[in-house]
Amino acid sequence: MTRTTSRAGVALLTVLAVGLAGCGTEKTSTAPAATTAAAAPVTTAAAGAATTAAAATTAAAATTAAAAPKADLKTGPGMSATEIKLGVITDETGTYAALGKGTVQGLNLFWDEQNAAGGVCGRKVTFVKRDAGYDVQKAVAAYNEIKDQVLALQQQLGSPMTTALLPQIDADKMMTSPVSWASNLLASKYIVMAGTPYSVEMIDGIDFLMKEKGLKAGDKVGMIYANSEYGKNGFLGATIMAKARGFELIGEAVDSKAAEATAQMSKFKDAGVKAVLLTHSPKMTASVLPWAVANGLNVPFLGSNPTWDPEFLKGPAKDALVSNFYVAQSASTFNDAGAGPSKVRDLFTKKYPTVEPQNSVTFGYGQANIFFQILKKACDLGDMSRDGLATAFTQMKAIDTGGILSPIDYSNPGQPPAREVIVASPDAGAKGGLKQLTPLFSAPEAKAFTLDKQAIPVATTAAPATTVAPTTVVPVASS
Amino acid sequence: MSEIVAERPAAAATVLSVSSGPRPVRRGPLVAKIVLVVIAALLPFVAGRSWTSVCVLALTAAIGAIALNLLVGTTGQLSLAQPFFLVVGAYGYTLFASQPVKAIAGQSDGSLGFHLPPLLAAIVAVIVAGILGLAFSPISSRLRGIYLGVASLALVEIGQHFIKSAKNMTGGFTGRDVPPLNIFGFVAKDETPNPTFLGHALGKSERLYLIALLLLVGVAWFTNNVIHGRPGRALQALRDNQTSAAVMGVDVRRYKAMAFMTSAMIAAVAGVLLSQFFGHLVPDNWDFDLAVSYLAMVVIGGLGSVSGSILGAIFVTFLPFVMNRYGEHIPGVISGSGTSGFATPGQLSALIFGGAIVLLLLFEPGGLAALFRRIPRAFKRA
Repeated sequence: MTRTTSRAGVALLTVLAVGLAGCGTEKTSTAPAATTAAAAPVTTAAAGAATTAAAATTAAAATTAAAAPKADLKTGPGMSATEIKLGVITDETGTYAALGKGTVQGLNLFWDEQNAAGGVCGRKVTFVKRDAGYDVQKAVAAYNEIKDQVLALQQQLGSPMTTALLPQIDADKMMTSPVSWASNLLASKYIVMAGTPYSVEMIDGIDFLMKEKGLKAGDKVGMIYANSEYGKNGFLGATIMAKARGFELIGEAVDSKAAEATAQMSKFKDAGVKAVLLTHSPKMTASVLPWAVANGLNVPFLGSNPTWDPEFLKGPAKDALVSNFYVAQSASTFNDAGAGPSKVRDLFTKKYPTVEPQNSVTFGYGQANIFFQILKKACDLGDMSRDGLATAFTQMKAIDTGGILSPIDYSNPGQPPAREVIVASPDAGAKGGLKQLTPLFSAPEAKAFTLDKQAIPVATTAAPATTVAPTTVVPVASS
Repeated sequence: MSEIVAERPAAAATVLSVSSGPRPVRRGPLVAKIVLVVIAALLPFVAGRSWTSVCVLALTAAIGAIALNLLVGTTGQLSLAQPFFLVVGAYGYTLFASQPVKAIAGQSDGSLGFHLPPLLAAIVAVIVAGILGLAFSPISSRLRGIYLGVASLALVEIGQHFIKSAKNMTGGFTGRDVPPLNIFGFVAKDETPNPTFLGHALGKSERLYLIALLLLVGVAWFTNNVIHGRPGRALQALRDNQTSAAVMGVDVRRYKAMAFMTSAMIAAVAGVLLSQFFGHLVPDNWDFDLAVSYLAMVVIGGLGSVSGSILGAIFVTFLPFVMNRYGEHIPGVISGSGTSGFATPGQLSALIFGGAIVLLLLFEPGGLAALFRRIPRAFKRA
């Protein structure tokens, strides 16, 4: 029995030790000393963290900080007289690690530049960054760990994680910019969606297929969508277009973690589809495109923005992946010749000369720009508390990101803030791996789209396909 | 199961020491344990707030790991069904405790709910998990080893399908809010302002921490008694050799079914706590990966040991968070916005995690529990 007892004792001792190790540092950081900078990983090259930390006090005490540029400025948590801390909960090790790393590089590029130019409201912006590895549990724990240390969340990656956090985001009034375009998130007034929701993205993408790739009314179109909020969103866009443009949509819901859909593809081939739509994972793209080439299904494939992964261009199935694939997204590609994207490209080459660029860098830069404009507005209004940020956000109308993102308009809460996309195709010669084929555009159906919670069709999890014939009236959203 | 036995001389020795006479009464360690629990209970108040919710996650994982260890370590029944019983606990509690219909913008969403008092809802959810565990017994009591592992995977898939399709019960992809647990007026939610205790706010995380600690102590005490009592000896006997256990009068199928049911109920307790930790349930958490991480806790901590389960759960839960927070100060780790280094903090934590499993299996198959047992011995020798 000695053994058992001492084991239990040791277990409890470890709880203590680990807890104290973690919480002990928290304690020291309440002292206004340079240790703050050492304890909290802040990620900005430009900020002289050690010097600013000397003046830093706790988040609570910061509300009474007198040294602010505006004497009567209201401040929130994570703010000092010289610094604003923003949270970044991203993915550097999970399913969307490539997306996470690229967007964070974009965020760094923007804020380094902005901090060098004086920051926002006389303060430098630094990040408190956590890697949640695309795991709901880790994301929720990371959020709770940093929520009192930061003013707002500059990034929260992933639809499921953000959905799980929504009630807390509302309760904490935490302004959050998700890396997700799922429309259910628009229900919260603290969500700053940077771009076009998946449903509208799909509407625009189909418009491209009909204009440029010969798809016409009466054709059959196959669609493989993930059995998730994301897939459901894309499918909604496709059903709207099927009804409006009179083509027949054969929708197949496939489990979001599945990596093949051979049976569904055979069905599409037998039905004689003229195009295939994808709202699924990059893995699915990498599996269905080679299948199509091998089986002679020579039709265009259109994917939602997460279906693309630059790694495709390195693999053995490269040719199959490149030939017939188009991706729709609301951020310009890394390679785009426009002034905004070119600037991002220059900054990137300077800061990360040895890193291979991801397309998502451009998006990250735009995401940071939107957040900057909201912070600036709140500063102008003299209230940078979390309430003040929310007020500033409601007053934002159109936001111009210099051609980096689709034009954004937040004046209609709960509705898509952006409706335009670009269409790109893989190109090994282009930096970031995508060649932009169109400028930003939107289909008439995209402009008319309104989000109505009740109209979203229920995603079918069962095997039978959801066929939407031109004559079938589907209860979808209308203008 | 002989290959597992061969790897665990320590556990075999425990069986011997238990069966070799009446338990000695030892007051000293009991007092020490109580003191440690009290100190652990005060932890969130003497230290800061930011780690409290990670601590809650660790305590919850410890309860789940104890449940799994009772099956895998003590009974020798490999189970990957842990996420399923966590789902039953989490979604079951939410279903039983929620209002029948939640109104969204004036329209009802048609969701079901029984609106039971939270504590009763939690108990009912745990009982339901027990019934479902027992319902699986025709399979769980006939199979063993890897065969049961594969069969139990089916439960994980059933759980996933249930969450995604039974929208009026689970909320589907958009998920469902979880009503706060209320234990005789001690409600696990934030108030404005929160009452303070020892100068620190007694908010949702702190309350959950105390509830989780209390439940962990209860579950650890219960499981320890089961393992070291008559049922535990029977379970260990049938783990080591089913035939000889049967010859000695152990009802093999009944004991296996009971072990599965007990494990399911303890896992559901962890599920109820997890639902509180989340506050809003989404389907993407309860998949195969979760089963693997619980299995890792049990293997790292030490098969067949309650304290090992706790150690394993703490290690697996804390590692990524500690690395995320302090990893940047380790030389060679990519820090901040820089790019030089061999790994990000998250990648480093994955490397340590994998390395720990390999090293422990090679050099100390008894896991962290056995490793820690060496410490006092080393002191005695010195």
